[in-house]
Amino acid sequence: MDVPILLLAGTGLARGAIFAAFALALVLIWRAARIANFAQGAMATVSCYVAFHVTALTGNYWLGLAAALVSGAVLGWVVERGVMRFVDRSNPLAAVIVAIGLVMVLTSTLAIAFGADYRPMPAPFPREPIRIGDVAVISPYSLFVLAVVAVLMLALALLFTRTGVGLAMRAAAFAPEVSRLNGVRVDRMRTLGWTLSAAVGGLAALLVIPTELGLNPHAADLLFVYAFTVAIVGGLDSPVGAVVAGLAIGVILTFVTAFAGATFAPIAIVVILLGVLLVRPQGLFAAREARVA
Amino acid sequence: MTDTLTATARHDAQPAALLEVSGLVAGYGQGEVLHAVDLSVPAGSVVAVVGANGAGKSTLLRVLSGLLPAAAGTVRFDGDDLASAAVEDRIRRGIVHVPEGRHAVAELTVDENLRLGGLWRGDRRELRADVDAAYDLFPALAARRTSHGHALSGGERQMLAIARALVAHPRLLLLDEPSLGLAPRIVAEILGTLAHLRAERGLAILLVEQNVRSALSVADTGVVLNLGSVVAARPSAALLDDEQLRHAYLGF
Ligand SMILES: Nc1ncnc2c1ncn2[C@@H]1O[C@H](COP(=O)(O)OP(=O)(O)OP(=O)(O)O)[C@@H](O)[C@H]1O
Ligand SMILES: [Mg+2]
Repeated sequence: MDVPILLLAGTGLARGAIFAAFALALVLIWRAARIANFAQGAMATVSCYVAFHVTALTGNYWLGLAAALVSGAVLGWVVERGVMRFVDRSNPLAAVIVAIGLVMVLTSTLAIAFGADYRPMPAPFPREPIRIGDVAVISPYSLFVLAVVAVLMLALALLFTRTGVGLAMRAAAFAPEVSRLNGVRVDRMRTLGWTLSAAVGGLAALLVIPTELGLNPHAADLLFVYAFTVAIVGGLDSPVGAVVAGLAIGVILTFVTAFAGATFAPIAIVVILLGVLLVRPQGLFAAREARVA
Repeated sequence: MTDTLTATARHDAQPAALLEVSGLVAGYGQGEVLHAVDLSVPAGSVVAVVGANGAGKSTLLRVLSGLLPAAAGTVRFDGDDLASAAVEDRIRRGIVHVPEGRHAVAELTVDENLRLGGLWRGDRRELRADVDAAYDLFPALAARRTSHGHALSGGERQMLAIARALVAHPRLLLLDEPSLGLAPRIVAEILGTLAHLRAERGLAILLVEQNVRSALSVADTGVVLNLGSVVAARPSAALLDDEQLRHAYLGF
């Protein structure tokens, strides 16, 4: 059998890039608010429904993509201002329970409003691979995904390293009291973290859905599981960890699926997760002991 | 600095003290720590707060910066009552607090730590100039501008905390034990820098110190705090001359 190594690698990287983006969204909230946002999949799915309808109404994919970003941002803002802000922060379980409650509310609202059917999500570029001679190289859609995620990463990196807001967000994440004493409005930085994170999560989900069964109230569930693994492996505190671990896990999963079958993919995930938790529980890229509060 | 002129102008036009605290009550939970404290800091002056361990000196600064809510009393700053204002808003008015314990943000570089102090003003170019001015005041920091906070020595952290507060353009600096654990040479350096700023910018300083003699040597006024009450507030020289008071409350 002729194995299309190149194609698998490219597809794996594109998949991994999506995991990385979604994991980055988890890292953003973790750093801003010390909350593992279990509702991120459901929130991102809401953004995808918005994008789906905008694209259906206008016939324009790009307007849908913009709508996913904007609606994600709005949803993040609403969830933080309306719900998470009031959660008891001294009890780490409280936010998790509230997030799980949010998942139920959002998912069932989507099911009531739009039904549970799978809807085909349009892809802006073909998913058939380009061939050079006889060799399948990479699909235009994978290239598109890689480009979008690269732009996203670059934008976030610039935001955090080159702007005052980015510096304020990092400081507020690491040392909230010192930041307040320096005039940083820490609560606003936290809201901004949720807003950014939810926009990024919505975008990542929008990218993954055309490669799966279609849009459905549970469309981002699997993405959440993979991205959560990525975030734990990379270190919940580490954006670089999310990117590296995301790409690696995307490639590994794609090869495991190709060579061993799709049923082995979840097993591979569990093995990776357990391995990292045993060897380096704080994640591969966490610089030091992660701060808890 | 550009605000020297405006600060002195305001000083001349306003004979009332920059900070006027009266009847201030505060504590932690049920326990009251400060009992009706009165205090005033004239613009451009240095006031030292001295007293035994646990007297409530740090608590007083925490209430003045807004970290700890006041249960009663007023905190008039430049004419407005800020007793219930948030920390972030008091900084925008010019009250900047350097708490005990040298809080450099470990994950940020020296340069980022310094910029953090003036981010709220939102003027990039002015911020760069202020940070560079801070390096001029503390050359030891200039040599370490790309080091992370966790890699600094205790003295460097203390300098960083003070330099960062200065980047915020304070009108009143609340300093909690800046000399704790530092070599006398560094303490002298820091106190010298502060005296310089006070002369140049009209900066007012409320200084909390264990080292009573050195605190009173730079302060215009000394306030003795005992068990959460002010027992004396006099010119520094007069305080040092009052042997009875020294024996009773300052232990020397
Ligand atoms: N976080 C806190 N919770 C409860 N009580 C506190 C807290 N911080 C201080 N106290 C109490 O308040 C009183 C005053 O403490 P404070 O730290 O203001 O004293 P201080 O004058 O700064 O002392 P030192 O010279 O040792 O720094 C002490 O009795 C202390 O035990
Ligand atoms: Mg103290």
